[in-house]
Amino acid sequence: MKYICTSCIISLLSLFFAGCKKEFAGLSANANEIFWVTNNGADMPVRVEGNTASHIIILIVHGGPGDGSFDYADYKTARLREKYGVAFWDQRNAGSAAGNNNLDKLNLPQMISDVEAVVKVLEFRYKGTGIYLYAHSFGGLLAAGYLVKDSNQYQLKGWIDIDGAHSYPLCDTVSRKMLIDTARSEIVKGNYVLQWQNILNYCNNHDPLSSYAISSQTETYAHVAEEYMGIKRDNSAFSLAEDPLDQLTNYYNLYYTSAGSNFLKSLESADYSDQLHKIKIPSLLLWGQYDFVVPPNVGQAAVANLGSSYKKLVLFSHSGHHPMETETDPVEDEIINFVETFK
Amino acid sequence: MKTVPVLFLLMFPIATLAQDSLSIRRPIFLYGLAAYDIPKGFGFTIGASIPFHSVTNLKRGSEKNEFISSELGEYRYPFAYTSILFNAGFGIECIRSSKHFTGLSFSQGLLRTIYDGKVYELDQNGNIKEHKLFRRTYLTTQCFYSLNYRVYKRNPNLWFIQLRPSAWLQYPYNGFLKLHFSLQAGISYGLKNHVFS
Repeated sequence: MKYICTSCIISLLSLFFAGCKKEFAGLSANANEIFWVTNNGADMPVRVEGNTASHIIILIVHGGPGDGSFDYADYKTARLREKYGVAFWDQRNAGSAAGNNNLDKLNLPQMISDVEAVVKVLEFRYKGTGIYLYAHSFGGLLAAGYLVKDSNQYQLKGWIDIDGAHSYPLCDTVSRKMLIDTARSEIVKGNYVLQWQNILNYCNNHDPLSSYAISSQTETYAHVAEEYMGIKRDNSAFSLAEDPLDQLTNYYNLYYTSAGSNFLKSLESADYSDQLHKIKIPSLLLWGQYDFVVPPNVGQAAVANLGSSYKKLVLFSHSGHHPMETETDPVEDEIINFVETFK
Repeated sequence: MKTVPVLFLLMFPIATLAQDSLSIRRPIFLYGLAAYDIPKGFGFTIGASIPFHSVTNLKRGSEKNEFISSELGEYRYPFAYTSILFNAGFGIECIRSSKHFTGLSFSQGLLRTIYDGKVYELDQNGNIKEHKLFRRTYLTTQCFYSLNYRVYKRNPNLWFIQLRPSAWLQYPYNGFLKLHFSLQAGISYGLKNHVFS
C-alpha cells in the first residue's frame, strides 16, 4: 500500500510542476512564449512563435468576429514562423480570451483600442522589432479602423490584408452581385443548377443592405458558393480555438445574447472606405478570386482608395475566402517578399 | 393544469420500500485524485467527505449515505494558465456490496486563474504596467458521479480506487459561463477510527 501511496504522490507532484510557465527569455530563432494583454475587462492571450531573432513580428488579426488565432498557428504560417516571429492574438470574446463581465464592452471602438494595446505591448516587449499586421476578413475591418486612427499606422512597417472587409456595406453589395453573376453563368454551364438557382432566387429578391438577417443569409450563401466553385477547405468551427468549449461560449455570446447581436448589427454599417486615403504605410492585399464573402472588388476598391505609395493587390485563382489555407505557398511567398522589401 | 404533475407521476411505478434510518457506520473518506479537464487541462484534487445521514433499504440490502464534502484542487492548462479551485458540497452514496459503491454529488466553489507569463495593461496615459501572477476569480458549480472499487482485502472498506467523471460550470466567464467536462481518478481512504454512530 505504501508503494501505491508513494506512486500517487509522485504522480500528483509531477502533474503540478509539469508544463512550466513560458517566460520571455529574449529574442530567439525558435520562440514559443505567451503573454497577456488585459484591456477594459478582457484578458487576451498573445502567443509568439517562430524566429523573433529576425527582429520582425507579424501580428495576426484574425477573422470572425469571435473566431480565434489558433486556426492560423499551423501549416498556414509555417514558413513565416521559420523566418519571422508570428504573434497569435486572440481578440476579446474570441479564442482563449477570458474575463468576467466584459460582454458589454464588445464593440468596434473597444476592439480597435485592443489592437492599439497589443501593438504597444509588442513594441515594448520586443524593442527594436518591426511589426507587420496580418489581417484577415473581419480582422481587415479592425486593422483599417486601427490604421486610420491618429498616428497608429506609424507603429508598423506594413499591412498585409487578406480578404479584409474594410467596408461591410460594400461587402454586402458586391457579394450579392457576384453571387447573382456567378449563379447565372454556372446555371448556363449546368453546374450545381439547383443550388445556384436557389441562391439566384434569394439574391434577386433580397437586398442584404436592407436588414441584418438578409445580410447574414447572403453571407451563408457566399460561404457555400465557394464549394460549388470547387474550393475545398476545412470548415470545422472547432479548429478555430484550442478549447472548443471556449468557442462554444464565444459563439453563444455573439449569436444568442443581445450584446452580441447588437455588436454584429453595428458592424453592418462599419465602413472605412472614405478614410483609407489616410493610410500611407506599405500595403499588400491578397485575395481569393472566388471569395464571395469579401469579393475581390472590395480589394480593388481598397487599393484604389489607399494613400500608400506602395500598394499591391494579388489575386489567387484557386482560392475563396481563405487563400492562406488553399494556396499557402504562393501566399507566404508574397508575404515574405513584402516583408523583405520593407523591413 | 394542476393534474399534469400527478398524471406525470402516475406514469412511473410507485412502490413503498421498507426503509430505516440507522446510526452511521460509514467512515470519513479522504481522497486524492488526478484530473483531466477536456481538452487540455490536467491537475489534481484532494478532499474529504463526511457522512451525516444514512438510510438502509432492508428489502434490497442496500444503503444510502448522505455526506458533505470539501475539496481543494489545481488544474494546469499548459501554455495558458493555472487554476486553483476550492469547493464544498453535498452528495449521496449508494452501497450495494462491500466491493464497490457509487456516489453523486453537487458542489459550489471558487476558482482562481493565474495566467502564464506576464500580463500587460495600458493605463490612461498609455504607459504599460506589467502584472506578475495576474489572476481572476470565478464561481463554479460542479456535478460529480463517482465509482469506487475496493482494492485492499486485508482491511476491507478502507482503500478504494475512485473514478469520477464530472461536468462543471465556470462563471461569469466573458459575461456568460464556460462549460467543463473532467475525468478524475485516484484513491480514497476511509478513516477507520472515525466512524459516526
